[in-house]
Amino acid sequence: MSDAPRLKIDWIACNGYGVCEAAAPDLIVLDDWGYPILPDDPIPHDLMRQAKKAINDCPMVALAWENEQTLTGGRLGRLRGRRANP
Amino acid sequence: MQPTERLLAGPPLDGRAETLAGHHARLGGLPIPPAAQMIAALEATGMLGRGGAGFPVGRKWRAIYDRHGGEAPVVVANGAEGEPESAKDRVLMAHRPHLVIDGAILAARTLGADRVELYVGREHTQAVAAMKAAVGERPSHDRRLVHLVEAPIGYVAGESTAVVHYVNSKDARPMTTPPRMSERGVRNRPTLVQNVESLAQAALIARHGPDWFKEAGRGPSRGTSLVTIAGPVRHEGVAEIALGTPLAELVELAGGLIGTPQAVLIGGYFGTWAPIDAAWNLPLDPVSLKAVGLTFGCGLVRLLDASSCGVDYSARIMDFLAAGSALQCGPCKFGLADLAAASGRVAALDARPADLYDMVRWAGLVTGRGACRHPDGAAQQMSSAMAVFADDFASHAHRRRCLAAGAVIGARR
Repeated sequence: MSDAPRLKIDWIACNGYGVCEAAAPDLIVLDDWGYPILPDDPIPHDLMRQAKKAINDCPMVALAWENEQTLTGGRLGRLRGRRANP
Repeated sequence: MQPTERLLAGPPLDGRAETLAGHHARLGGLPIPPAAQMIAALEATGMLGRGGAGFPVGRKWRAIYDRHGGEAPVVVANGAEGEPESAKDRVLMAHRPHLVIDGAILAARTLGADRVELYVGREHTQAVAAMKAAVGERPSHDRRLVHLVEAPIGYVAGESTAVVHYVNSKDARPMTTPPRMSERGVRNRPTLVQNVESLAQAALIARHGPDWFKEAGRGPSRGTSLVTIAGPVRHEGVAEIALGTPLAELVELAGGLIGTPQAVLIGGYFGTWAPIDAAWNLPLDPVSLKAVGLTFGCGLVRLLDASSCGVDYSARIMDFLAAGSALQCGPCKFGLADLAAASGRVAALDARPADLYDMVRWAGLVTGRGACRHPDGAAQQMSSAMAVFADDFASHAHRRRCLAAGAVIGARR
């Protein structure tokens, strides 16, 4: 995960709470409807702390590193017994 | 101009399905070439999938064929056809059901699948009846393999992850990927979700080979394709054309014009508009259209008459697509609703000052921000309409006047 530090979002899981913006104000802005707009580029070293906080704080487990699983996107969803890919 | 009939060769399209006996008399039994040879043949044709997304068919089959070990795959023949103005899949299934079933069985045998789901839109009652009857005509080993599933009504129900979701758990909403369908789809097995026309084409390629397939075609894309032509032509409906056939010749094939088209929507409700003069001599094939920023999509060719308003037409499509959102992803749920509301106000000569500005912005904002490509397609149609009908949009919004001759505004909403 450290070699390609890009953020990705599971749009089905995201509920637009906006916690990620509060955690990473220099990386994430919210759109007209309160949903995060993520940077396309890899996360620069000095903003890694913000990115990690945004991932950890997301109440929906919707935010992750690009090569990780999110809530409805795979393993995590099944472990938690939530509606996910069957 | 003579039609190039391959999929539609045989008995007339009079609402009756070709029987198994007729199918065999005309085409013989289905040969099953060795898997590697069959996949190489599909790759050699360069055929792109005919469901709308245009993914190379050979590459899709190979992704499943090349996996190592694991459970037997599943094949899903996608005949949902939720595109309201497209009719090519339902016409194919209603008249040539055995060619579609041949293609699905060919895919199953090539990939080692032990189950085929025929996913047919339940509103296409003729197609459902024909496919059901055709399965019943098949020998018992085919009937054990092939199962009919009636797809629910809805634009996104044909999206490939939604198809798998429905077959698994009767919920036709798209899912977040990964996993890829080629790895885990129906019952967690590797799954090929392939449009019914693509499968029917594959059944002909198995019989006649890739070189025969490539004999048809007039440009960079080879083979034939089903298209649906709608608008001011004498015979609206489904036709089969050699890829690369210019729009002008398709219109001629449809009996010629009975009106004065101003623009054309190509590719479906996710597609792109072009002014009629620019489009008239354009070759209809995925590669040529892409080169000029247009889409082939599902092969819908929708001419818009000069008496119709492009602002109104595109706003109605936007409204339909917003209503067709699965409402799972925020930007799609709220963004498409806002786009539909704003375009509806502009169409009804009741625009707010920021509507046009916001529509451009929102079309950009929803693109690429969903589990599936529904918002991308909806935004593409809207953006392209705003470019092609730019003067009309401006006149609607700023002067509260419609430029289309004879268009009735405010008749809806």
